[in-house]
Amino acid sequence: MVWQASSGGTNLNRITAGDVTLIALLLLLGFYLLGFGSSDGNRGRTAVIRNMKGEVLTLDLTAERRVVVDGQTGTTEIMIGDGCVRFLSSPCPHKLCVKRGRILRAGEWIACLPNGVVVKILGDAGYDGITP
Amino acid sequence: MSARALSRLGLLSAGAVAVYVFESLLPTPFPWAKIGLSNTLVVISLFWFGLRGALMVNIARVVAGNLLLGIIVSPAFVFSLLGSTSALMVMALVRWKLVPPLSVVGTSCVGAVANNVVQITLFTALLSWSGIARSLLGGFILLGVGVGFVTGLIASRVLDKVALERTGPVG
Repeated sequence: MVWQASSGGTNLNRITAGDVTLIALLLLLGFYLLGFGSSDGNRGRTAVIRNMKGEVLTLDLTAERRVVVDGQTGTTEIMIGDGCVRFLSSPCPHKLCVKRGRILRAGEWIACLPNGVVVKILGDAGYDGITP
Repeated sequence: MSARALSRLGLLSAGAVAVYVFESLLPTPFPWAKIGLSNTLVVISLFWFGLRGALMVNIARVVAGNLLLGIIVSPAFVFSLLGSTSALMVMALVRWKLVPPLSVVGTSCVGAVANNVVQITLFTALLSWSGIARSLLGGFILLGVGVGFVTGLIASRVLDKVALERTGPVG
């Protein structure tokens, strides 16, 4: 069996070219992965929908669903899913809310002011803090 | 196993437990994280006594260390045990299956990175932190390389200076 102690004649206390290559590769991988997180680091997890009557709806962004919200002048259709929120339609003259497109980061929001409907994405609301 | 090998493994385990408990007192960004200096003793055990001996030292270190720290069944204990055991497996794989073999320092780096990757994966899975998992993983890979390098350098120096007459493989 090979899993046993023996130096096999080679001096393993000397750093080899293989070591240097491997350490360089691991460092590259580490820096590569480290740079990744910042771009999608603050993706939101929940969306909060409010209308002028004071009704509040909190929804998980991962579950795909279409929501119809009662507003002041009609109903606003909102699509939620795949971590994003977008307005499908709203009874307003300029359709700014629909043109805003998708939002996905914590803190982003879309409002349809004529109809009085606001959607805001909350960050990771699961934990306020962690202690061991 | 010879009495000599057994007593040496006992000494290595005792040393590993002492360093393990000591380094838990050192401040780190996460309270349950450790620098990983006690891995020096495990690396030395691996090169002196092979995989079985090192596994014994490692399990003794984690169980006795966490028993002394009073966190024996906490997630930190489970992470520590799983992380270090998989690190040992990877180090043994690199040590005896890779041609040409890495030096002690390279092997130690691989082990430290494996330990960190396993622990961070478990940690992010437990907290469902998918958003920052990748950058966290990158950071801990870099930390692993650094700590593994230092640990490996110390182990390498010890293995170089201390001439151990052959006790034969353990088991």
